[in-house]
Amino acid sequence: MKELIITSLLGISILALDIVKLRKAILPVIILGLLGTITSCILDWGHNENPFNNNMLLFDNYALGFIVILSAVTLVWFLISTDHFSGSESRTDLYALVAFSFAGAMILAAYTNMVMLFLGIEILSIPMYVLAASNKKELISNESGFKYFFLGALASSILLFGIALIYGATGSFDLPTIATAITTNGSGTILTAGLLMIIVGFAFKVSIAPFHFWAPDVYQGAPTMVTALMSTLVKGAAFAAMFKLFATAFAPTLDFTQTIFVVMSIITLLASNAMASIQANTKRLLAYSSVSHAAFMLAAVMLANTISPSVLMYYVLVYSVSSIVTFATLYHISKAQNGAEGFDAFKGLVKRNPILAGAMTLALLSMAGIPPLSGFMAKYFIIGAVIQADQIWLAVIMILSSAIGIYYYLKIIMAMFTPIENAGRIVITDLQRILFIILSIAMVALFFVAAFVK
Amino acid sequence: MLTIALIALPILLATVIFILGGKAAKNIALGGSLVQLALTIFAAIQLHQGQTALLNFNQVWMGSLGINLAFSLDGISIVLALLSAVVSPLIIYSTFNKTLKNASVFYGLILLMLGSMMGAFLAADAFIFYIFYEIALIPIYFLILIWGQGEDRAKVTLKFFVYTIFGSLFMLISLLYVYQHTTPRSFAFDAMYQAGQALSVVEQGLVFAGIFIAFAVKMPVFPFHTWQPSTYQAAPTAGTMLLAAIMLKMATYGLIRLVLPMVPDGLTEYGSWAIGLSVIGIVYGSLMAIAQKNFKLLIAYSSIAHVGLISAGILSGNIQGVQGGLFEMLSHGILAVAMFYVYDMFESRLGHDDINKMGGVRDGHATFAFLYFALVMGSVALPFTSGFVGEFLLLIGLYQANGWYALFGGLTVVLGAVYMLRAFQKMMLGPASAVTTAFSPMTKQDKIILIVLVALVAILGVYPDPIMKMSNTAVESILATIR
Repeated sequence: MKELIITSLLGISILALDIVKLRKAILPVIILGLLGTITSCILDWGHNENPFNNNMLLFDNYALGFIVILSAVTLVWFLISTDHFSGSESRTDLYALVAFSFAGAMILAAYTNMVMLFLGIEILSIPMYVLAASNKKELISNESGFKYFFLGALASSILLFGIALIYGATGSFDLPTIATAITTNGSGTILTAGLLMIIVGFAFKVSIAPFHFWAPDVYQGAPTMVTALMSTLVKGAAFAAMFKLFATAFAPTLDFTQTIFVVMSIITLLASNAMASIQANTKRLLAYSSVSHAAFMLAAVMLANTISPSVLMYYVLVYSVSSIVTFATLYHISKAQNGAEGFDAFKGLVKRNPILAGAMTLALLSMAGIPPLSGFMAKYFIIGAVIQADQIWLAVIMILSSAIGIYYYLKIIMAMFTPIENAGRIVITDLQRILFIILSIAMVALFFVAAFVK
Repeated sequence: MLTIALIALPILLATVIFILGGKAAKNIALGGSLVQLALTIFAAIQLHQGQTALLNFNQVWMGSLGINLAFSLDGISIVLALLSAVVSPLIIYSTFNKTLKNASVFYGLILLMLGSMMGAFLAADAFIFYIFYEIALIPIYFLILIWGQGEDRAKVTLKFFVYTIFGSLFMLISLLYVYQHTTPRSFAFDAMYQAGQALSVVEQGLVFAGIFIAFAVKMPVFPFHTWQPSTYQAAPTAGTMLLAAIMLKMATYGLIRLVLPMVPDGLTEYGSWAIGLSVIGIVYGSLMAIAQKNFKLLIAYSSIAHVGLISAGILSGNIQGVQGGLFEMLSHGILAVAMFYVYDMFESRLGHDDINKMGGVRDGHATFAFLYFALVMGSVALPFTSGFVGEFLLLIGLYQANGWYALFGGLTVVLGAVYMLRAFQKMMLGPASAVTTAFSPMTKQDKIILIVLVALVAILGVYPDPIMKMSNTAVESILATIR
């Protein structure tokens, strides 16, 4: 519970510091707050607090694990994007929005009640709508925020409808009680309808096909670092929530939902990889790649009752690290050349900034799932579990789509190593340079410490 | 520990070179590869004396998944380790006459590749094998992309990379499938063999198909070869040498290590298509080699033919086939380095490798002509050269499986003589011409490399016994699982 309080206070204090004109203190306070959250998670590890507020929230190891990962991601995000909002006069507001969104993510990791699930999703999403449109003077950013808001609101309402139907069928919002009710009463039409609506609602949120159409437009239109946040913090938190839901409340229905998830995963993999390989805009390409990674995480949700949550945690962590690197690199590149986001913008990067090029190469190879990068292990754990669950076809399609993935990731790598004439250097700050190096090491190191994943 | 040292040494040196950079890179790389050679010979002596304490290493890595950092050096691995250790100093030395940009990265990547290939040869755990098999791809990709030739090399490398990964992913599915049948879950070779043999014949056939596709792309076997000629063409000569001499041996080695003992019934029941494809590859590669006018492409296609024979021989699953396959891997590795070096001598002196525009080089270059001819003899498998021992055994092995295979397989030797001698004739013989004067005399580097290679071809051809003895026990124990 301490973690949630720290984060909420963090958001408020960011706003307060702005009012008292202490803007220079904002970044240190953010760093302190997030480090405080991580420390308190580590201190709480192993001895669970009592459920908070009538079984609304439970900070068990599952929640703490995700919170540590997501706070680390958010911390890195704040540090790496220090210059991103520097031109904006509403910079502090935007930072506060990220902190509030992060509080929502925390609730999604810790909820044990459907009401908190809905609250968490809304707290996570609403700041994101604003952030997506934060580049006010750009039409495309406004369009992105508008689209994200409308479809996000639609998804939330479908989810809420589903929650209401589940309440009607089982008489409870409490996750374990729902599970018991489903086991004793069996499933009926109302329950099935509610279940399907919840799946659809989540599918919208995490961009699973066939509900992923908004993702490329929104990802492309939003400011690049906000997109990075969407594909890491938002996605990670939503999957944490989804995994918990299907590991506890809907565990008795997994036999039925497994088929749905398999079909959705396959459609997602095929659609996203086919679309990604024909993109000319790297930001859209990364958006589709993000959709394809969602299919892997969905497979983890599908097997929620058989696999350890650490598999999903590892995937979220590994994917977030490489995702932040790719979006941050794209941000620097496109800033240096008037917002260009095509493959050509990457040409000669190895000369223009070797550290960016190196980190980006590792990140793309990691996303492609090539050893010795952590992305390989992440995919390996999922594919292994899928084969163990006798879903050989899903595993085959996952593997084939990984091969297609290599094709489009390599297109970016190829561009980076293509020499060009008289290109200026791309300048990044010392802090960013250190972060890119740390993240590069992390992408390799996570491969070797994967042993903690059960 | 020795096995770990063999893998770690090149990788550590690569890291050192990456960090330090500078002009010392090539000397560090050469020195490191010579130390590696010394270590490998020491390992071979240890193995010969039956002292295996230093040669096995087993450390739990991901215990709950049954993945161990297990390495072991037995009679089969040592042949490949020796090949890798013998040719790598030569490959590194062969680049000394070139001015490379970012030389430190270049040598670092070569060392990384050597380390990961050594890892694949020494792995005693299927997961570790797979990881090293894949890692080796990254350095060679950048070697070709950055230091390669030709405008379209980006496309060529893309095809090469995607194609190879695509193939290896099938192997991953197969390995995971077998792994699911191990109790307790383990990727250790022994556990995998047991689980694989317990599978039904149909399952074994499918697992075999998955693994064979991966290796068929890497070797390459017809019709999975389409990436190979253009990649060999685009790669810098040292890269081509690495690809042909060592990298493709990971696949042929994998056939012995993973296919024969793991899915023996599937191989005998459903394996004939793979042998058939390999034999088609022999004929196809030879015919294509005859049609080439560029020397580098000619060697590339001849490599398809030789590798097809190795693959067919090993898959026939008898002692002669496997022993011959192992020996031919060694011989082909040495000859591939030699032939690509000869190519590089012509290319760097004349600026092209069109054999129709050459001729008369023998005049005034008698030593070179002799050395080159000796290598040609090795490639066409003349008795008392290393090529003969390997191909002879392979053909015997193939004959035991099916006389027709052996008949077509024998075409490697016949057609090999056609294209190699024709190339030699067009390049070297004939009246002295402008080419003769353009071809400057051999440098010290040329002499050292060619003499060492010719000596290896001759020694292995005359006295193949030590290698045979070294691998014999291990091969027999692998084959014992089949019967």
